[in-house]
Amino acid sequence: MTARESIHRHAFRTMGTTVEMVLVGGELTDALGAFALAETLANQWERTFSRFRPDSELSRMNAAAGHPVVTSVELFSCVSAAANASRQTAGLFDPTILPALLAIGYDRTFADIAGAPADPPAPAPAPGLTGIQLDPATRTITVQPDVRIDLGGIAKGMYADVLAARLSGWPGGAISAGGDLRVWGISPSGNAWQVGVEDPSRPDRDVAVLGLSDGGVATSGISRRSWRRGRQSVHHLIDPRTGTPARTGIQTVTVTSPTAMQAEVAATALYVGGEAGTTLARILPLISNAIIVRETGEIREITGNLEERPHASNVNVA
Amino acid sequence: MSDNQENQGEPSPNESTRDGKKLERAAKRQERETRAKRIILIGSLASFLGFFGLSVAAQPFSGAQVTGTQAPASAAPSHDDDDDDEDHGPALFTNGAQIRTRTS
Repeated sequence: MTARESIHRHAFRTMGTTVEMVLVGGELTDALGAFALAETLANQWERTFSRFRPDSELSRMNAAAGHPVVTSVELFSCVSAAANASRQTAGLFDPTILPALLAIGYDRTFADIAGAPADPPAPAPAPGLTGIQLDPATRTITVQPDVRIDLGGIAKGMYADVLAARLSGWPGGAISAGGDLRVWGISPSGNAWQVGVEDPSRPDRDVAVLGLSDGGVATSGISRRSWRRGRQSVHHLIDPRTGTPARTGIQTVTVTSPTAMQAEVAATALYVGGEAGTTLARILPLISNAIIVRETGEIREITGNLEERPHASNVNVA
Repeated sequence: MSDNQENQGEPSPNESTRDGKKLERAAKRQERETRAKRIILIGSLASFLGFFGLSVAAQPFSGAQVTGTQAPASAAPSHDDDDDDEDHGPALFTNGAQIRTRTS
């Protein structure tokens, strides 16, 4: 890339978070068209996947639990991907944890959650895939009467991947949907993209910078979404096996994978499953690289089985 | 030769001051016109971007041409505002990184 080539940046609020975009090369008018496309797609995603909008397609499907529902291509694809992710991670990633989230008070937007006085009710394991039936021929989904689906994280990853595919004609770009990140092509420096990994203790700093030319990155952690419920400190990363917030001694897990959606799935599963050998055996085939920041502040780098090896530099080992 | 004769063809101190003020006024007028043109240009661009619901917020980046747009700070949060972001703003280009992860 020459110094004359343009860099176009855009950020906007959507889906309860901030979407950030960087496009390298091209003309301003084309970039404005790309940004308008990103916002249109984000509006479509909100109408489809938000669990906080009673009129979203997901909310209507959850409300119709027990009955078959013909769904859009987007919703069917995302639920199918979530089901596949659940199989790949032996249930550590599970889209049916919504009742457990509701039970600990995550029944409204995070900004509205106040410390509820009562302790949460007795937890129950998530029903998992047995609670969902998919019929690809008719795009029909049937969720069992006691099952509710949450697609928050994986839907944001899918958004970044779909938008990146739509903008693949650009020489280079980066899309972050609330942290679910997808990069491709040339970066503003002309080399691999330099992706900062947020320090959970000091979010204005990075614990590492990853060099990545093409792929997805996602970070799962509890630093931004923890609250009190009665006498307990709770957070949104539910262990489907118990129905309670996962306790693994980890602050954050950052994963690089071929897509943002896959990175989101692997980061969540690795956080929930912890550093146990059985977890790693499941997750390593899905990732290129992972950076774990433990509650003690220690940082661990893990190399996955996939080919692209992001170059980690400036790792600030605590 | 009188002083007047010596100064013939050259402005007197009073004339010099007057000319200087004229030049100063002309320079100021030109500066105002330039600024007005700039405002009109920015206004036109803002109107154009406004069509897309965007506002202008250019930020510099090492020697390359950078354009930037950002949703207005006063934009209403989305209906399902579920976020945790305290600053609600982009977190790009810090600590040598070109883009950053955000814990979710």
